[in-house]
Amino acid sequence: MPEMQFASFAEFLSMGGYGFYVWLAYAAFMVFLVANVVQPMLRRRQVEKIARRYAQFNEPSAPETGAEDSGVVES
Amino acid sequence: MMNWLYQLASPKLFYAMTNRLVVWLAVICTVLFTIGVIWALLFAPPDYQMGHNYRIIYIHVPAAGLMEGCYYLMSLMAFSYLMWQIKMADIVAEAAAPIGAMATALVLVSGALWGKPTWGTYWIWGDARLTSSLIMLFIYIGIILLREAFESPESGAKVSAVLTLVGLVNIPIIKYSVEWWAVLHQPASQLSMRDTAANPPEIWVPAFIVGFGMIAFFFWVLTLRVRNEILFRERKAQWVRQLFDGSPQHA
Repeated sequence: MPEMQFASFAEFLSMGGYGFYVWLAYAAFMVFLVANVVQPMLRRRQVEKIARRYAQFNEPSAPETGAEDSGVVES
Repeated sequence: MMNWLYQLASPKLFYAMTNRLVVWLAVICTVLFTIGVIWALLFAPPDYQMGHNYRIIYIHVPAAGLMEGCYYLMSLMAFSYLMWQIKMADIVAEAAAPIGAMATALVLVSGALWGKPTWGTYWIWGDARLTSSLIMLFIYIGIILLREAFESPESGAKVSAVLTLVGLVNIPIIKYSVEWWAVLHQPASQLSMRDTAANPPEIWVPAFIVGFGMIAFFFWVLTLRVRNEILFRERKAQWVRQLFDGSPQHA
């Protein structure tokens, strides 16, 4: 196992003076990850709502109502 | 093998086959990202020239790999859709585009944050690598918007597939820009096994861990989006209605 490169937490935060750039880049990475998980999860809830409405009708001609049916993904 | 491929090309079977897969991919990418990022931030030794700032590389390079890999996948899907009208190929292409766009945005942001302390500027228009990466973002956004611009989903799918294949010309430009017209961006680092003195494993192992995490993450969120799109497009189909008619088999 390689050894830790920082003697203290303050040193870790400062990143040898590059703290602003390093932490902002990793924050952008976090935003990227969260956005990519949250977006399909919100869409999932929307799609489930649509699917449940169609499931209530047994005939093949299901209703075409509501703005959610347009297929536009909100981002 | 072929049978398995045919099953993936059916929306219904794809949906059934990926029930467990999304959970596994979520676990794998969480583990890899946790190990990789802790290693990259805390344990990897500082670079002899760039100090701790080089730790940005551990997200910049995997993000760039995703920007490129996602485009290859979309091109393959666009081609399959245009050639054989495989519906699933179009669903995957549609689902992948926003992920690729966001990866490209991350490449540009992390690259700018790297560039400021290293080169003295966040951005420069004259550098071919930087400019071609920005063009990549515009291509991704163009593919997304063009699909939405059409009234009929089939026309939107076809035209966005054509644009995807046209945009493929930007890929070699990005790749070779650092060699053909090097201005600021350095050529790709050679992470070879032979050159271990220049790049000890403490430096490149975490890069590979984050990289594999990125691959798992991509296929995880891609599958989530593909499953959503399958449910939406098949909302009138009997199997989707059965899934959502309130009976307990719905997971």
